[in-house]
Amino acid sequence: MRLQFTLNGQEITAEVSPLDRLLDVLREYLGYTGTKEGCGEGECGACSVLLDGRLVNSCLVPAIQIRGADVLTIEGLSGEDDELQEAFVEEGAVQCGFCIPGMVLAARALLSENPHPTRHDIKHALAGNLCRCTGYERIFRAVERAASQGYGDKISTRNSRQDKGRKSLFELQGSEPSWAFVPQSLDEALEILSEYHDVTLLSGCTDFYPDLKKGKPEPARVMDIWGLSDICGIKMKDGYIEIGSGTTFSDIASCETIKKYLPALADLSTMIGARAIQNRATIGGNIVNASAAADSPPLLFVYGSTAVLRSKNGTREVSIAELFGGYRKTVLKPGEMLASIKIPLPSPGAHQFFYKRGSRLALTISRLSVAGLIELEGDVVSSVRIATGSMSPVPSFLTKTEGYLKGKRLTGEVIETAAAIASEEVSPRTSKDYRKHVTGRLVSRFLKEARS
Amino acid sequence: MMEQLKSESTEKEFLGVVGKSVTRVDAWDKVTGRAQYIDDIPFPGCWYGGTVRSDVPRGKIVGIRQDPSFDWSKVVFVTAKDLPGPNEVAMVRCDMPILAEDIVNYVSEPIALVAAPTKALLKAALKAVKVEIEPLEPVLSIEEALEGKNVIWGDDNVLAKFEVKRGDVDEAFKEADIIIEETYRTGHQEQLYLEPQGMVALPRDGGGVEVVGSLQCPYYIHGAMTHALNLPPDKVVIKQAVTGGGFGGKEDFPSLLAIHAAVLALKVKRPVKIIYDRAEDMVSTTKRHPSKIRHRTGVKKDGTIVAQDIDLILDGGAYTTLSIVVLQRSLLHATGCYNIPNARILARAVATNTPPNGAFRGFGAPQSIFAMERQMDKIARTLGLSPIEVRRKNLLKSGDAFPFGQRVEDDGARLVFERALAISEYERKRAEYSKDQGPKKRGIGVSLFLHGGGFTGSGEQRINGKIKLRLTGDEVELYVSNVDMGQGAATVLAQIAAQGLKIPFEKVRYCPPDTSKAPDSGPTVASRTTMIVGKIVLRGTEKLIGRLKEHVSRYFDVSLEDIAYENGIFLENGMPLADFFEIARRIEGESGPLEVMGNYVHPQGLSWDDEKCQGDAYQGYAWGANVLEVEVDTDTWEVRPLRDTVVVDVGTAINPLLAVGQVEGGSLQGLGYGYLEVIEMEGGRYRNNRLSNYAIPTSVDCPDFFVELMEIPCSRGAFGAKGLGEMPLNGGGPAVAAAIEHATGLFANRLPVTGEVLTALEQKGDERRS
Repeated sequence: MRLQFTLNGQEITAEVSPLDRLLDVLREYLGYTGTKEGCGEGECGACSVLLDGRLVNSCLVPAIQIRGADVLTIEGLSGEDDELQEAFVEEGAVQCGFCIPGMVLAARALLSENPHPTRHDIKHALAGNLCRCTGYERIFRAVERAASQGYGDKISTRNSRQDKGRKSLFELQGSEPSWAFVPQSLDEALEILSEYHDVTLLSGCTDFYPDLKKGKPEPARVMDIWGLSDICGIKMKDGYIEIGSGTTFSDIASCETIKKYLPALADLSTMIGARAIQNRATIGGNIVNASAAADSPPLLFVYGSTAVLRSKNGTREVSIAELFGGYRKTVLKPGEMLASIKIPLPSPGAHQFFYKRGSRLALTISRLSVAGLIELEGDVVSSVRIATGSMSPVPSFLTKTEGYLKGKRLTGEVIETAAAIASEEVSPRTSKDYRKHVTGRLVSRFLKEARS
Repeated sequence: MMEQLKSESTEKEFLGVVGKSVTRVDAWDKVTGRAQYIDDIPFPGCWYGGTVRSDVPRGKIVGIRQDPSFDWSKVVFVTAKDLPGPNEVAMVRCDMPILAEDIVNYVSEPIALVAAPTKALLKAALKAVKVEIEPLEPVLSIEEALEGKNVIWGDDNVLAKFEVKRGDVDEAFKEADIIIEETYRTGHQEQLYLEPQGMVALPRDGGGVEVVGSLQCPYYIHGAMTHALNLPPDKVVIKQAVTGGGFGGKEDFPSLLAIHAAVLALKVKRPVKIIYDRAEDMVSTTKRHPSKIRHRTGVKKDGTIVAQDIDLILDGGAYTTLSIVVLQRSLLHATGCYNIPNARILARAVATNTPPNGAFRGFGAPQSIFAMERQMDKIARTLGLSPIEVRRKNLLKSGDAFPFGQRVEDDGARLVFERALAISEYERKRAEYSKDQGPKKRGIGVSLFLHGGGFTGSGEQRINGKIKLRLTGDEVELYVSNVDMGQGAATVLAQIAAQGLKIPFEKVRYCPPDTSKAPDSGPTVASRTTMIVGKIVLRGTEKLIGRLKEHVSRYFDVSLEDIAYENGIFLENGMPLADFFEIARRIEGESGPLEVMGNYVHPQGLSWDDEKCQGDAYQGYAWGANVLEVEVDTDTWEVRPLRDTVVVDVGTAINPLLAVGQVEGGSLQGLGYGYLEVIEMEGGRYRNNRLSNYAIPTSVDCPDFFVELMEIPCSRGAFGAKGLGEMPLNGGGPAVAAAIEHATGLFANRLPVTGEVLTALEQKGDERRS
């Protein structure tokens, strides 16, 4: 297909294949080799670029999704005149240099949103960009130096983020292959879906490319639904919040409504990968991939959420808890697509909780997660739901623990008993003792927090 | 403070650049994306190479089947029988084949190679090869190797063995109040350079081959290549591309990869590029050796050590690679920074059917120092003493001897230790954190460590490194075989040359290693580049000045003895004659650029017995102390490093900013080794085989660093420099184990200290903190 987009301010046309990664388009087709490949699965950040002002891993973006987009790579910065780059040089933040182009762009993305970050902000904004040489200290100092020189103020006024949605994506160019579809509306997407049951939907692609790396065969047909306005956005309805399946975790994390009514979901959204992943990963993708380690399902379980499934023939609603049919399987029928998730508003006094334990503090796949929602009358449990993730093929409710807690006063003894029941109730395959232990402790922590 | 003193003292000298944090020479290229790593360089007409690998840990190759439905005429396919020379990768030994022939000895062992004109075709061809292997019972652990039921290497699976004795351990144990015994274990660690391995081989006109790649040791590859391809030395050229990190991972492994690329290129008669993707890199390249180290220490009640018996075993994997030398360094660092009057250390490296382990920053020392430092904490715990007291009692002082006989020449151990305790406010924080309530507890732990700079024993004499300086009319080109892989060698060696020649730093140009131009100054390993190679560079500069004086003598008709060279100017009895580049230009005009070599000269008074592992093992020791503060969530066993105070004596810091960067980066790798970086094995396979399941520290997992350089010069290093690159890694593991112990009360005897390890310790009923 003929691809047109803006690269570092220049209009670019290239003949590419729809599933070529943005990284390949840059490096192989256009010779922009400043963007590096360190892993090809969004786990190192060496390939970070800015896509319409947002930090992304270019190894996880298909060419089909950059039609009309605005891409900024390291070659697009002004080098010796750029205060951020200069700060990296002056502070000794550059060693082997392989992570540096991506790191500089991650820092730039941070400073354009938050011109005067704390060190805590910097650490979190750069968490998706691994550096093995520096111990990060010099990098933090470089970002602090550029911030103190007002770098963020200068660039945030110069290029405020432009979320183009699919505006200019519509103009199909040249020889569009017959196996790659670019619907303009949900209805059109459903039409295509009803015709081709073997079509793979492309949204944030944060699992798509890693799966290919792991040996999953390339799909026969693909359909790009990234940014499709019918399935993007968060709406407050009567008694529930509806989140479009194509909404990214960045958008969820920064949404005031979510922060107010579903704070645990807002927290969760900041724990998915790191910034570049949050900018691309969608809540719908997180659900329908049905990965055992997915973060959002356990929490959506306890919220009592409903999946809105659309097909050409209509709409049906399925409880999220009944959506999963086994390891990486959902009950979606051919022709059906997850359009949105409805989350009932928790009662004002309810306590909600999500905790994820990965192997490290950021950019980590959950080794176990615990989500909870509890309502108390005085200190008596009137309702409680607790679900865990990553320890079985699909998330599961801790029904024994819930049953035990229902109607009980939350005394220290009750909490410890509930924790013991919880740790017995889960049956992780590996690292059993450890995961059982942590599950119990987290349930105890949740109950203590609810009580206080 | 030291930094300040240094710049004052050198300011008096003309343009003195040693001790100054000049901007590294490659910084702008890297920060703008202009720097070309191997996969960034265009090679017109280049084919792509790939590797067919074993899927079993041990077995007999019965057949290699090429799917007849694939069009093999479009690609090139190579097995062991197509190799042009001996099927050996020449390293310390020649036991590793280039391609497995009859037997495979580890999962991912290369069996065949394919080259294709496109990546897609390469992928298809690799899929069209099936290797039939009859599995044999593998040896998968240190225990199984020593048990010897299956012999996979030599007569007894022992790749190397050394023993060192000092005094009489058994007699001394009788005088001890208590004998404390513990076995320590450490796991694999992946170097995880951000740039994966990559190599391009180009056939040369008139025979021979050129290799360009991501590498640390051009002449290691050169040697292995001439051996494998039966080519004379001048027919093989190795060039280094900008290298995105090495940490030892690009020390030994690239020899194999370069041979693979070259074999294909010679057959295709075109350039062939092999770039590993991350998963292939992680499953098939070398890692840090796992270890099992048993300590038995006889101590007095006051914590004084009277004797120590150490049994140290490294898992070498399937072939020797560098295990002999890694083991030596393990052995020589086994008693850490302490004076052990009676010691017996038995060190063995054993073979297992796992991917060969090789070089990784620290090179055997991190395992040893972890065990020793933990043993010091164990002694403190057992005797009810503080970890500080026990260390103070036994610290090596100037004049003390290591078990292998070498005398300590400075009080670096004590100085860094006391300084780190003071500036970290260790005692105050220890008391404060001991009061922590609730599930999140802070802890503070200390480690003390050292690293011998340069090759072990007579290694530097064997290498006999040489450098070349080439003087043109307006600059000095520096030719060495030591690479910049991120550590800053290009900048630091140029600083040393500029200082030696007393010319501006900008006038020295470090030339990226190329064996057709640079002499063999040895590999970029063993923390030797600044200390040892820097000294050779300095000899070269002295020689060059000598040669220039001869010219000056001729040009100005002045007797040689009357010529002095000061601050860039040649003088006759104090009167200026000409400056450095005036002479340089004149020489260039007359006879072209002047070239001189710098040679290694072994320091007098150092002796080493290789057989007995006795004598002066290293030319100088750098010292370090690490005080780490962590927060441990005792509900989830999450560890959050808060602050890391690291005081290191690195001798003269040629470039303080780069030195601090090395200390911070090395320390963080050590912390990762300490509690995050897990590789579990399952049937000889790494279960943690990709970035999503092998966790290195991210920016959020990183503490705030407070690094202080102490500079106790070492006469044998350039301008007093000691070896620096590896040392900081040695201290991370034990510091994190100690800090976690303080926070939780749980004494971990293994690395990494994961949630699983802590859960097991707690369930075992190990005491919570008192």
